[in-house]
Amino acid sequence: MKTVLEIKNLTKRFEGLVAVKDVNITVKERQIHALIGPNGAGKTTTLSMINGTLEPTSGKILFGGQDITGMPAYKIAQKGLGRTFQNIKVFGSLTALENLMVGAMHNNNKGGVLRMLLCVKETNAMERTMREQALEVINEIGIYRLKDEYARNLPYGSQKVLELGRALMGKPKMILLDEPAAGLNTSERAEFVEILEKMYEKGIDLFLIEHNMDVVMNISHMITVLNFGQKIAEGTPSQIQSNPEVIRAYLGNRYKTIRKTEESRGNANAGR
Amino acid sequence: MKNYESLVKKIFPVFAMLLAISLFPVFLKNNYYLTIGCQAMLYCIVALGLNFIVGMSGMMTLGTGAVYGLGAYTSALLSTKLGVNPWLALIPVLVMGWLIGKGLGFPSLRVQFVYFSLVTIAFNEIVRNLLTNLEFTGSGTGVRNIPPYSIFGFEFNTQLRSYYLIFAFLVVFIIIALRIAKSKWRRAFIAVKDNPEALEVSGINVSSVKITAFTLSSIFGCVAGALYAHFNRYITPSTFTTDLSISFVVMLIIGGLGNFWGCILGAYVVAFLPQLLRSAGTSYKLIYAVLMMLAVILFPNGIMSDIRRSVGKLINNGKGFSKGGGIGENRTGN
Repeated sequence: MKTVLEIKNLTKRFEGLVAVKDVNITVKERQIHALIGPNGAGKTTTLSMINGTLEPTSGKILFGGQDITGMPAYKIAQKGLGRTFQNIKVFGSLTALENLMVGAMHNNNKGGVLRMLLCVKETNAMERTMREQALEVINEIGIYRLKDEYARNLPYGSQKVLELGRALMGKPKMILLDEPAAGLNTSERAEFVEILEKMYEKGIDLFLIEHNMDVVMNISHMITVLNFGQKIAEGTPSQIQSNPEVIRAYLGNRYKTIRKTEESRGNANAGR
Repeated sequence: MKNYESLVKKIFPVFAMLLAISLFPVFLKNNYYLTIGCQAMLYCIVALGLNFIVGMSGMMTLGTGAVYGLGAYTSALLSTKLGVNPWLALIPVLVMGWLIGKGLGFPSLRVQFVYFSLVTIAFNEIVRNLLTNLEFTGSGTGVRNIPPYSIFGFEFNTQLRSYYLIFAFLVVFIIIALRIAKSKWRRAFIAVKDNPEALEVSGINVSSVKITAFTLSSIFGCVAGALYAHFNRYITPSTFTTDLSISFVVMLIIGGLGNFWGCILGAYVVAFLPQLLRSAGTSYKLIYAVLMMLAVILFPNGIMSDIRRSVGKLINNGKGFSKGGGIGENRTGN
């Protein structure tokens, strides 16, 4: 399997505080990779360094074999690395559809204002392509009926999928998701996971931070665990669930016992 | 066919407005009112440009007076000192606008909010002081005997002729502004105001979008300034004060930030209201201020935006936000 994203010895220091220390992560192609860990473990910092909103203190980030360390965020996005945020960032005074169209702008950004004013036909054609693509995506993420509402008036869950849709509009190879399921109720979460799986099937790799273990354990192929800025474990969901250090630092003993009782129940059923 | 209808529907209000503006001199032949009419149209042009920065991108710039002034001086000095044809002088004026845009856009990348406003006020004061003190710009007395525009010997030297010349420019700038307002640039400008970080991760260079907004705005401002110079035939630095910059922003706030119609209405209100209040004598400034305060209190989103909203409410008859759907709709189905 080819490597899509490679993080080498990534370190971020804020004054005296070391937020991320010597982290190495390798994300393979066609995988959903999750990053978990307790609060303040440096997950979001890592994500921000990958997509260029934060500059790493040291270390290297390779995306598709290309060094993207310290590149401005917009260039990294143009290379096909989308992102969503933990605290939703939509454009409140634009409609849902317009929000999505912003996501497609960099693919339809030939020339400046002058060219737009002079080449009426070309501009109109580009505008039409963007609108059609946005309509397609808004249908896919299931908020078609809200397309003409201002984003700030949308319910929380819809804003969340809208943000995801905006990332999709850029036709990314990979999307970084920062706590996509946070704040969603059970049914919304199920819908969201469905959308994520649909995206994955369409060929987009996902790299996500998530606290919700249902989501993480169900959809991810590979999990990396951070604690106090350092990687403490990496493996498949079942490996992570039985890793003693992960249980101590993050999952907690309760998780272990629940799992044990479930397993023993399973064994008992099998025995019967 | 439906497309055609919607196009007519969209263009009709603009057309009606332009017709109204073009018929204005028929009803008010008085030179005095014509002068204010010209002033109002120039304000419209500046306000339409300023709308890209203040209204859409959400950056409060208070240096527009200087931009207007630099446009006026560029054209005036070139045509009086070097004898350049005023039409030809429009090219350096455009370049000037472009340069100011780049120059003013740059600090906007570094300082934000009130601090940015302070920087732009400083810019305005520096420009005004330079214009007042440099001998080259005619110091305090300004530039006199600026030639009017002319086409094949037809001089735009009367109020009425100037009115239609400025009107023609206004039409051009309205078309440009409307086209930009319909394009991805409007979305980019608003995105800069709403959430620059999100725009950046969407693959757009926020700095260049900001600078684009400034460049556009300065070009609008500079051309309006040049028109002003050749219309008034006489300019002094005392015109281009921070007060003028503030009144440009007031136009937008009165009319409605980010609203095309608001710009036009605001420009006319700010141009005409003081003249209509002339009869109040010395207390006119007081009345003017009170009216402005009332306008802001009664129409907190700008006159145009609020009217539009209430009309929209009447049409929808309080349907409001009921279309709902998708994720979030079934919050109760937990």
